[in-house]
Amino acid sequence: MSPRRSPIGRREFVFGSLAALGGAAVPACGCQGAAPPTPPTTTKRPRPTTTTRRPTTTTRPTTTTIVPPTPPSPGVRTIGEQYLAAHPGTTAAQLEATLPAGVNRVSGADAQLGQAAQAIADDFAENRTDRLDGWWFSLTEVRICALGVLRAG
Amino acid sequence: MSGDVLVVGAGPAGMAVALPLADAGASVVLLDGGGLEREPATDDLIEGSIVGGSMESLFGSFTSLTNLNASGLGGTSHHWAGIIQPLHPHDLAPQPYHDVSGWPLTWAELQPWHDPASRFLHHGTDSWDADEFVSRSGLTPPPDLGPRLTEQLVLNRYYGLAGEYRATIVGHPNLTLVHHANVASLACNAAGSQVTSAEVRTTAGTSFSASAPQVVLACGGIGNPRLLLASTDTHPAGIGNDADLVGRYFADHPKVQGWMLASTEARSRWEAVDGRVSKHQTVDRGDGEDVVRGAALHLRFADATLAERGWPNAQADCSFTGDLAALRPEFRRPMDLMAAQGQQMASLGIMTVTTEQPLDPDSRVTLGGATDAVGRARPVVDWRVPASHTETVREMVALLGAELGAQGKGRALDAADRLIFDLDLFNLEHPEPAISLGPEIQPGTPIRWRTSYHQMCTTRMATDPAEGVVDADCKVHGMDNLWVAGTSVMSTGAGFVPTLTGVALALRLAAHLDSLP
Repeated sequence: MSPRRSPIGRREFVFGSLAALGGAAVPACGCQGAAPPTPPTTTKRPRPTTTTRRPTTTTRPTTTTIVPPTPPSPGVRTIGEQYLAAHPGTTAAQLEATLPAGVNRVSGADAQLGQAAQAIADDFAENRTDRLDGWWFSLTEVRICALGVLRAG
Repeated sequence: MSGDVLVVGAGPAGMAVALPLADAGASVVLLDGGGLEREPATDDLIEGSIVGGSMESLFGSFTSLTNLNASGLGGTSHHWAGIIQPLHPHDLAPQPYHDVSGWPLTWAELQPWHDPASRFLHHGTDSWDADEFVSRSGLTPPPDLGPRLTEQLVLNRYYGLAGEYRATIVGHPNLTLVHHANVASLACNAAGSQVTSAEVRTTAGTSFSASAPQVVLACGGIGNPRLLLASTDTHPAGIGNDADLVGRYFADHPKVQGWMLASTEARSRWEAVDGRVSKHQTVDRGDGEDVVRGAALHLRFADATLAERGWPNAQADCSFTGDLAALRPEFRRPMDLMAAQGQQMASLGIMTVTTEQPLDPDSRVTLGGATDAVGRARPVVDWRVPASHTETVREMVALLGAELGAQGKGRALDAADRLIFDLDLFNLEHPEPAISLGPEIQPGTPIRWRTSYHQMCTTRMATDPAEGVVDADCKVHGMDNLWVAGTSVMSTGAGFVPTLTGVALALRLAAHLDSLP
């Protein structure tokens, strides 16, 4: 089974492009209190395309252009909340560090689940599972759900 | 009253011993406490009690042993759903999860009796190969189940076994059926090595004795130990009970329910051949014989998986609901999760996991203080499933779920004891929206096991008299002419429905008796 690659929506694309700019964008919008997740060093950051103009000292993004990831769907959110309740103290950074390769770091949880299909299947095949409210899930999928909850606030 | 062979009990096993011997020319006396039909009055003669007061089934709890047994011609087949399936070679080998295990039979000694037993039970013969059956029946080829699972073909034909054989038995020139004849005890010679006669009582207050050079008990997994334990004239603890094993290792096939979300593909695969008895679904076997009325494919763990994990047998039987939109949030959450992964779930299914229970010597049939209408001590059934089985079965559900997930076909829910629903399990075309889950059961919480209404191993077969009541020929250890037929001689509970095995062993016993000088 090949990984399912979900198209990244425009809203996520805009957010991802800005997030890829890292420190250049965040101080400019005054969001230092909400530090973005630190991507693993092995992950290639999304590159802006010609449709997005790289900010310069004269083109500063405004808060109205920063769009958060699509909120998790209701079921995904609840599963994420159940995971966090079962694993108190879990941080977004910890969860991000477990995201499998090929998953866009800044996508919404639902999109990430689609991108992680192979890793999820591998989890099941190798017994990396977790039981939440009686349901048996892949560790990857419940961690993605939990990350979606933490990021959605 | 006498003959060449005395058979006590006219259920499936008793008929499977008596008829071939009579056909071969032996004079057979067949005794049964019931009548030609099942009767409430004679059912009371097999009544007893259950330790704890009741047993749980998928349909509720019950307190009467007549839910397990039935009197009269046909015996327990009055409860039989007409389902058969054979054992596997794996089942005969010693297993780590039993106190005592390993059959004294080889596969080569047992397997040839499967087809005769299938014919005796009016199912005809079949290859028992799931893939071949699917191919021959023109069904959808199986999806890849992954290496840890396989499928078990289960055949069923709902009919009355007693009705099939009543005329043959009554009219057989070499067979004398004596009904309403309750055997109270067996008398032995002074050495205690031979049964000399059976003491028979009727509810009318009369009694007589019956005798034959060979005596076969075929009273079921409760009735056989009951009669052996009651026969104390020369054996104070009962015949065959020198090692205190008669009635012990009472085994059933404990059931537990899980739920599964299944993809369209998975549902169509299983539902295509889901010939549950109550639906009277006919699957044409492709050979023109209108014999098999239904067939089902059960999920089964591969032998290698069982060996690797040290697990007993287990099979999962899936039935599906239709309207997912009516489900409550606890069932819809995983649907959202899987929809995000591009997997559209088509069905919520009840996954009934039926297991082989580890043998437990404290799970047993004994005699109680109460007596029946002819003065016999009533049996007491103390069914126990070892505590270790709970976690084993929870792990099984987890693995079933893992395999569904690995194949992208669904997710599984460990729902034992959590289901709150008002749903006719055998009429799932109209699912009730009231299905919901109770509070989560924490790991380690004992499961309330549901009975499969089976009764096995209470006179188990073993080479060593210290481990079993009968030998590989089904002869009671220490006795020269006393034999036992039916599922009570099974060394372990093994697979799923034991009817075919019990009849196969009975036919094998008949052939052995026929070969005696």
